[in-house]
Amino acid sequence: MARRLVDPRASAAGAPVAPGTAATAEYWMAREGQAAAVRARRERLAHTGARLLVLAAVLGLWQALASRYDVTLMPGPAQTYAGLRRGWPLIATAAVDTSLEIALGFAAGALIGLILGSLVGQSQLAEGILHPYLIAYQAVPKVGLAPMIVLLLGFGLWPKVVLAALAAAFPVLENTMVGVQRVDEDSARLFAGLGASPTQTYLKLRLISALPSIMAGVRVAVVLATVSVVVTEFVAGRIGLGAVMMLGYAQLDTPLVFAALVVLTAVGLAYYFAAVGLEALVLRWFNLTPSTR
Amino acid sequence: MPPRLAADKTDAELVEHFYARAARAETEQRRRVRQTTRVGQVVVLLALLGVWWAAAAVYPPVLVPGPAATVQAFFDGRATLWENTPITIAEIVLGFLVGSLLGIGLGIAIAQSRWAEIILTPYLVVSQAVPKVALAPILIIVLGYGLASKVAVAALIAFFPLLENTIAGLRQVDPDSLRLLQSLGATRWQIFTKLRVFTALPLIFAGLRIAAVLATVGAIVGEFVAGNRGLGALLVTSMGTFSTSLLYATMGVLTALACGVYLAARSGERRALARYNLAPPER
Repeated sequence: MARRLVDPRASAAGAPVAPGTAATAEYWMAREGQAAAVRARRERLAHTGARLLVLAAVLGLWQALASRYDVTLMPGPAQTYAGLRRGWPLIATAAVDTSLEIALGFAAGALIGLILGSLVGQSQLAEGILHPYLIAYQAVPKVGLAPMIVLLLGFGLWPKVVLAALAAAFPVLENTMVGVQRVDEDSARLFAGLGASPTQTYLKLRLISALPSIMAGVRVAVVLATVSVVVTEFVAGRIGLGAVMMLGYAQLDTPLVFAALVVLTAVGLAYYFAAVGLEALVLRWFNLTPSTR
Repeated sequence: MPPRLAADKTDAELVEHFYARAARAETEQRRRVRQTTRVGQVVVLLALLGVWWAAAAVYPPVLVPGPAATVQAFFDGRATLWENTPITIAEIVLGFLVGSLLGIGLGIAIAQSRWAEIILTPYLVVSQAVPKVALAPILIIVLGYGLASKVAVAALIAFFPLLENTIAGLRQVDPDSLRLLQSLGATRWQIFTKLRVFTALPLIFAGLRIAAVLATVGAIVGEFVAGNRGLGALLVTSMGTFSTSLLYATMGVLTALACGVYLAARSGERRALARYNLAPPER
């Protein structure tokens, strides 16, 4: 809400202030500033309104499509909500399982990526040796490993955690490796000149200056962990939202599939925005600018 | 051995001599690093094979078949593999083409309008965080068990990097060049074809590289869910029937295929950049 400005020409005493004084200039500048703020707010409101319109249009399109097709093929928003209510006990348990798998897998993967990336980033030779393997690791779709890992670890929680960790490790590893190497040369020389040990240089210089890059990797890793968990749940099909989707798919209970997908999307978004928030928090704490990636 | 300081050599000759020596030493050093790297790579490969061998010795073959059993399964199952691999390749290629063409087309359309971009930006951010492969069961319900549904899954996840990169690329035009073209009276279309397209190309090529890898993921996940044809389906089937050595052999084929896709995409990107004399996008 804009502060109400008092026209200085009509001062408290009622005597008009002469035009051209500092007080009048200030008044007009403040008025100009307020007008700009109002314009900006109006623009933001228009953007929000337009965005909501797009959302409404998408929902309308969904409803229109759904009313033309059978509910098994394309349930509408209302039928999806009904599916959510009907399948809630199942979906709620599954959502907890999925969230736990994502959290554990992501944490393990990010930790592994951070440690390995720091180690490999210390030595050009190690990086040269591991380079082809890292490329192969990057190229191979990790979700393709799901059947193999399910066979090894069973149908429970752990195969999902392992696969999520495998997927989450890579972006953190790569970004840590690049980050700890791309350090300001003058600072590195200063540290060396002051006789800092490699551990000190790592902890107080390399790791800190790598943080923007590492946090960007963390943001990617969260999404990859979510994807891996869901795909492994598709394959193993006993616990989690992916399993609920496969159950609905097998029984042609499409509203249940849609409902589980909606909850899964919410879980994925919550994790993603938690990662974005963590990134902002860490970077503000260390007073760093975010990575451009 | 110290160089003989022959009296008949001029200063310039001596300088040249020392320069040549330093260059030789550097080449030698580089060669040694390269050699150590090669040896290290072979050692890592042997270590990985050793771990596999050891795991196969500890676990029963139904859980972890060894390298020999896997190679055996590759030869025994070559008819099955031969039958399923082209299906997966077709899905990857079609999904990549459909997804990237749609992504580039829609990206160009959105980048034309400031409003469209402002309105759609939050949705694009959200789309990054949504696990898009989770749509696979729905796409298969809608499109059936055939090729189309897997192509749709592959196209869906190949679509987004191109959409984002096309919009970002068309936007990040050099303001000075833009002002120059505008002051020379260039039309919108001329600015688009002569300036914007070229600033966008590096990001679009990078998007194509990512899309190729993602199309592979999409095709496999689609096959996991639909589970009748293709390498992904073969993986799930051999998991279900405990034909673990076939599972490992299929993993081998899939790994080779994925590496092939990645290397092709990367060399395609490099060649395209070289063709238009562009620098890769900054990471």
